[in-house]
Amino acid sequence: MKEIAVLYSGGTDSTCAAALAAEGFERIHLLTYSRFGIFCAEHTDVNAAKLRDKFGKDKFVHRVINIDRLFRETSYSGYMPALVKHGFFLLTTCGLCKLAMHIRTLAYCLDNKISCVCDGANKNMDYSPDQMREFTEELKKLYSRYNIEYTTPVYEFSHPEDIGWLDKLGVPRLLDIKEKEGGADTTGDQLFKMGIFPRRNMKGTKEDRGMQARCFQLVLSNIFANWLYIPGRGLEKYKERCVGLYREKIAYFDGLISEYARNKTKSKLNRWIN
Amino acid sequence: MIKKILALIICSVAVILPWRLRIIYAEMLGWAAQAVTAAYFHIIRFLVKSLSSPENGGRT
Repeated sequence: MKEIAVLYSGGTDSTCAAALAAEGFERIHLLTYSRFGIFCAEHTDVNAAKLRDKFGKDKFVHRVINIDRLFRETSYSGYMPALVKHGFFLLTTCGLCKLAMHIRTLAYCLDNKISCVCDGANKNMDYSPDQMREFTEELKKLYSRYNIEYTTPVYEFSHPEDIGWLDKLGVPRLLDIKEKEGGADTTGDQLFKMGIFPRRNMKGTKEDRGMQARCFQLVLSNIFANWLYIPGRGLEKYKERCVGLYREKIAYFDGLISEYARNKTKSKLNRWIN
Repeated sequence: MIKKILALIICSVAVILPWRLRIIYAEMLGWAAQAVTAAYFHIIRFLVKSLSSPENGGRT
């Protein structure tokens, strides 16, 4: 049976990735991760149900997996030397959290003999460490060492038009902006075209908030990046430093995963994920 | 400059916190940012509504 694991947050991008995967795979494992600080993981059921309605209920396996211990390790392993070397880059919580999710996904794939993984990473969010192309490339290399193919099917999709602050205020626009017709530029367009979403652009709406897990910790990462680092040294340097940190973290976890693959029950990783 | 100093203080506190406390600290900052944004929108929405009411000669 052709199977794939999807890192599933319940949002538009990962739902689109799962919907695209459903066209080429017989079983899709939707893996939602929870930990201390991630709230409303149950919201992810909303779009998982829509996917089941569209493609059949037996096609999807939806699991909510706790990654508390793993997240602690990605954030704090070798903390003092890392703090001296990388400084405030250790506050890039989203990237560290995503890394914990990928490590757990890799272990899940090894346990269930799944050879394909995808997620909803998108180029329009590439200022966030977890969506940087360089970071996803490093992850691809990590997965490939265990004969698993990691893809980012919605990476090149465009970003939808933001819901402007005038719309949020309820001020009528002078010019009506009609919803575009035709092709699928954004993940919302794609889901609309497939008949899964009722509208093309749901991002930023109340419905959007009601269908995915919630987490505010990106605020620390954003304060460091946008107030402190990027204004002085630029985005490229920021990306370079982030990737340097994540490359080291991935190398550390690579050792732990190979130990897990060799002897699961006695491995350190097994203790952290069970 | 004020932004930079504020960021430096916030990040210096965060970097020495253990994981659960750092998450709580980040959550509190997140809620504070949400509260500021919500207050801004409520005030502006109230002003726009008042200005567009018929008593002020605005369109309904």
